[in-house]
Amino acid sequence: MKLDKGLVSGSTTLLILNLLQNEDMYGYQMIENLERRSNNVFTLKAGTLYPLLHALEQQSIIKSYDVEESNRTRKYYSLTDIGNKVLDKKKAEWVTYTKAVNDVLGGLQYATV
Amino acid sequence: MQQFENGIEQFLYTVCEQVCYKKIHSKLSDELRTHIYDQKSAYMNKGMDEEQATQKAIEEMGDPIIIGRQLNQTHKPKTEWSLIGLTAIIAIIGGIIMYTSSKFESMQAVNFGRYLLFSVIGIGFLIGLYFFDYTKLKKLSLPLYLIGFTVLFLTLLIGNQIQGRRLLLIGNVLIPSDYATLLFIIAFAGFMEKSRGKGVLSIIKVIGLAVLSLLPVMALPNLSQAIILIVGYATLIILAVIKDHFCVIRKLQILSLLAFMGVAITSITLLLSQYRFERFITFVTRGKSDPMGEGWQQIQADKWLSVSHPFGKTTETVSGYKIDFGMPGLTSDYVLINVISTLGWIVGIAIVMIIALLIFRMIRTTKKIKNEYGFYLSLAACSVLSAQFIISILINFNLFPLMSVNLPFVSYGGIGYIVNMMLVGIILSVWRRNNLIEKSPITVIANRETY
Repeated sequence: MKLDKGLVSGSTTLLILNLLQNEDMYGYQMIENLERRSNNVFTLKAGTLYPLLHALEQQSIIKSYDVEESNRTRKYYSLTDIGNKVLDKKKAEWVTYTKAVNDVLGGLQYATV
Repeated sequence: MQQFENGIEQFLYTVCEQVCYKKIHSKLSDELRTHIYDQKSAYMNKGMDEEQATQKAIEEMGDPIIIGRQLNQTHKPKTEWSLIGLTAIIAIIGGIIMYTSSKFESMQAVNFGRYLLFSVIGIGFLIGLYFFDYTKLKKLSLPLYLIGFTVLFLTLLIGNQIQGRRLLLIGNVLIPSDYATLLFIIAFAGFMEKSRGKGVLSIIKVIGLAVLSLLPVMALPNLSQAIILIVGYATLIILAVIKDHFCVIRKLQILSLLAFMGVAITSITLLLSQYRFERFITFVTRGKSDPMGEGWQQIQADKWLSVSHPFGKTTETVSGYKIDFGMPGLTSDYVLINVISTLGWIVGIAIVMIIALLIFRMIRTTKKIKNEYGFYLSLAACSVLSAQFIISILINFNLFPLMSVNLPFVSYGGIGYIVNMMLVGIILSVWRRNNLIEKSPITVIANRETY
């Protein structure tokens, strides 16, 4: 997968795709959700999120649609079939990676990470 | 109140300033603006006053210049240089052949100045279309269709009959009907887009419009143009069925596809009988069934191919005649024979391979187009160009019944040349805007819970 290096900050893509697997979301919702679920560990800047979303959409990993809400239009993003495959691959990579790190560190329980 | 808005608008303006592609500015601003407002309300709920909340919400976004630059990376207009390069190579070989053909001593000599004029106009139109926002064509579908239909109808009514075909005479210039291919195919892409998800009736409508457009073309009669249009229409309908475009039961889609093919094949057969069935027999026998009559051109074509050299101009003659006296259609239907006998087999094979590569690149480019209308438009242009290339090459090698089909960018042809350049321009235009993330816009009226 080709992504602008500046756009991928570690596992951001993985986290976003994972969020979208469960439900379609708009940008602000993603940031809020990530913060809440990670107990404020992941504070994603909008300035990082939107360029990344647009790049992912261009690669057909996600797609967007507009929803008219009261007085404004919200742009929702959803995972495509390609996106689902990318997510599975990235998850597998992540598991391998964390397992390797744990093995090196030793002693830590895999499940707690 | 106003001053808070100004801060937000200033931020959005700075972001957009970095993004070259102006068409997405408003959508981009809308998305970011909504985000800032959400953030602002969240801060205000936490007890900040409006001024503070606005300021903090903007700060939270990050550096507008960096965001803008990153977004620009994604939304940069793209140019498919391979299409331009390959088209240019084919057109240059065409130019060389037109130059040597302008030195012919026979009636086949072309006017090189006129050729250059049409080339410049064609390239001008290509560049114009490249920068033109193709989505504007969608609204013009019906007008373009009607213009094509009316001019063809006019040709039938007041056109001059030349070699069994009606042609429109404007001033003292004969206008061949090539323009109709461009108009109809653009219109058809629009009709396809409009029928998305509209069910059975829309399939009938689309096929009806396709068949209707073929009637005046067949009445001219222009068999080759009808076949090329049918290839274009059929490609679009087949792809639409594969993509489940009409959103009806697949069986029904396939049935309608078969219906279209049935109508198309019946009409071609009818036309063929009008064009005398012997032509088909001469094709099968490579001209030997009637060597002095119908099959003469095929026999000559084979002879000239057999005396051509691997490289450079053949010095041989056939039955004592030089090529421009001994072989008809050298600057039109049999232009590839002209290329091979003038520049040699190697150039001939090279140009066929370049054409194959161009077709391959056109298909690949089209496949990656995300906008539904852009996809159909590009596919239409791609299939019409490919059909001309393939049929023309096959005719030159006696692998397809003889009919008048020009080899795009090589054959001498005024309006046809311009039309083909415009078809490439359409593909380039669609590709250029492919990065604009605006698929067929789907707007859902809110019926979902937000939190």
